[in-house]
Amino acid sequence: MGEFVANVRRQVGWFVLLGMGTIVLIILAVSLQSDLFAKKFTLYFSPPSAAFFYDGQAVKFQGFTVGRINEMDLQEDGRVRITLKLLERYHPMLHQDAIIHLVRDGLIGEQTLEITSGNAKKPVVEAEQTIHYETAATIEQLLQDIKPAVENANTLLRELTELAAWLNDPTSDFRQMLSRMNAVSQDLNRENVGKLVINLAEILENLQSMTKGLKDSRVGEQLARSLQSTSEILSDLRPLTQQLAKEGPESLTRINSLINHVDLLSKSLDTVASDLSELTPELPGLARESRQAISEIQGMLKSLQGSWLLGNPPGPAQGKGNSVAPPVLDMQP
Amino acid sequence: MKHLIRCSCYGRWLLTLLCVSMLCSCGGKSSHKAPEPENPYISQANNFIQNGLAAMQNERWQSAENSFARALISSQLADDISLVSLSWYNLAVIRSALNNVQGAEEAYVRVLELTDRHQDSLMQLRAQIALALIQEREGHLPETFDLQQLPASLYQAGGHWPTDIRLQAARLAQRLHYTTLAQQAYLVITQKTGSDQNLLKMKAEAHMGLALLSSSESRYEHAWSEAEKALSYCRVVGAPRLTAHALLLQGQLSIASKSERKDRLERALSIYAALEDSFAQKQALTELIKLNAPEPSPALRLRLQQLEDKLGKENEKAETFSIMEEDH
Repeated sequence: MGEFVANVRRQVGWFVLLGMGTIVLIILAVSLQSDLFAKKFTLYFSPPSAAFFYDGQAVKFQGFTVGRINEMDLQEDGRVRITLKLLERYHPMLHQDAIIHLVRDGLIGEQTLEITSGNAKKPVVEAEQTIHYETAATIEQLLQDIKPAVENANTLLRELTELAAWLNDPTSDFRQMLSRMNAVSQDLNRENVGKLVINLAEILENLQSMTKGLKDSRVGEQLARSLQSTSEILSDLRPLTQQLAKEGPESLTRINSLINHVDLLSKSLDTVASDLSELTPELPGLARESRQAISEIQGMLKSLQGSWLLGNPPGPAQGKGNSVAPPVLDMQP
Repeated sequence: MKHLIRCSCYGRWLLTLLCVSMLCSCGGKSSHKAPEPENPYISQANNFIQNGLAAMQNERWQSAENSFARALISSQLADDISLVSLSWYNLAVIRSALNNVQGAEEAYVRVLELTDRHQDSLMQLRAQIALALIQEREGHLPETFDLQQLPASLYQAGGHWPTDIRLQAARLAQRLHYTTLAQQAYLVITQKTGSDQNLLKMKAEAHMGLALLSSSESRYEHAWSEAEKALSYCRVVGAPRLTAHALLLQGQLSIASKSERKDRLERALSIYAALEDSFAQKQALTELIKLNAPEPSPALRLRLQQLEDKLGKENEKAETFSIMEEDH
């Protein structure tokens, strides 16, 4: 009996030891996976405010989490200093001139820090070094930047339409510029935002050269005098409302149609925000972030499909039939 | 006895070991599994295509064209021939919707060239029919084109043809006055089952096609019921233009009471007004005035007059712009 009890005790002991060993092994494996004991190095950066940061916030490099915020402190001189702990194995990839900036994982996702590789020709960043922090422009900021320009453009174009009544030349630079403006205003998208800004700049330049060129002639003098007074964009542009009234109804109709185009332009800008899904890499900030989020979700779904939980290999690619545009038929009776 | 107890202990021990090893294996499998490599240009092209299709549903043609153009570039970068021909086809469809006939025809020709070289017979047939449809609409369908060249099974219940090809084939047959063939193909489409949005819209179009056919054959009751079916699908998927067409057709059918027709025409008119389709508005208004004859409301007349003025001005403007473009 005693031998039996001793046997049972020994077996129970082994069983408990084995269970504990397994648990320790699992904990070790998880710790290794989550880089708990991995070698890390420290970097610092100083943002203007610590409002968008928190301890443990992920730092990403090319989409991979390479570290986290370890500490945040307000220094004596009032500057914010944030300490990053980054994995040592990524150290050789980060060179001098590396920049850190805040990006959002999707439209409503968590904000993470992204670090760039810097100048590959330069040496690797040193531990304990302070790197430069840059604020990424978001769509809202871009729109805010563009809005005053468009408001100015409205003013400018109204003045220009009055000028058009004066010049009344179908081959003038002004007409050509407007037709380009109109073409842009038809459907404002990511490409056209750039074109719009270029066109506005061109209009300003052309208008300046036009007014300079006209200064020598009599009409030019009159124009130049009127152009000197008020415009915000060209400080020497005078409102020509009195002259406009003398031009008669024909020019007024033309002006009205031009103003309509300008209004269209302003409305089109508002649609930029709703066209997020079509924004291109040329526009930084929100567009890139949303695309990142989408690709991450896609990756996540694929991993989930292949995981043991669902037990299914990734399904076949989406059929081409779903991507064929349905016919647009004219069914009007 | 001892032997039995020892065996049962070993059994438990083995069972525990098995459970632990199973858990470990599950954990291992569920850990960071490296995603399969994926061509970014292909996924980019697919994203652009989906964006384009979404824009198409809202009739944001310009936006859809931009997306499909970008999808084409991405698919060219990926060097995926089937995706390239698909992108050209989508671009052609959208250009056709934008009335860019020349652009659409060029794009369809590119699809035909590509699919001919790479033996994609289905896409080739799709492009061939779509091109014929646009050429017929513009009145320059080649004399060599014969509807009989198309596979007969397109118009029959058998054959696993995609619905969009059948629908286009049916519409082409209808426009070329092969009414029996058109009717057969439309019927096949209406019998399709599924809840895909595109399929439901195509079913609505097929019912509308049947309604138009019945109307042209003076089978007004059948035309009414088919238009009603088209409307029911339109309400599910949200196709305002097709809804307005169906309502306009019902408003034109003399079997319904005057008040019912008036109701349909007014509803069609309000949809066309919301869609800013002046030509269709004019048609609906004309029908309404005809219905109210001999005492049409002065407000309706005034509205028609305003529309005609606007259309006249729009035509003038279009002519001026085309002259200016030619000058440039």
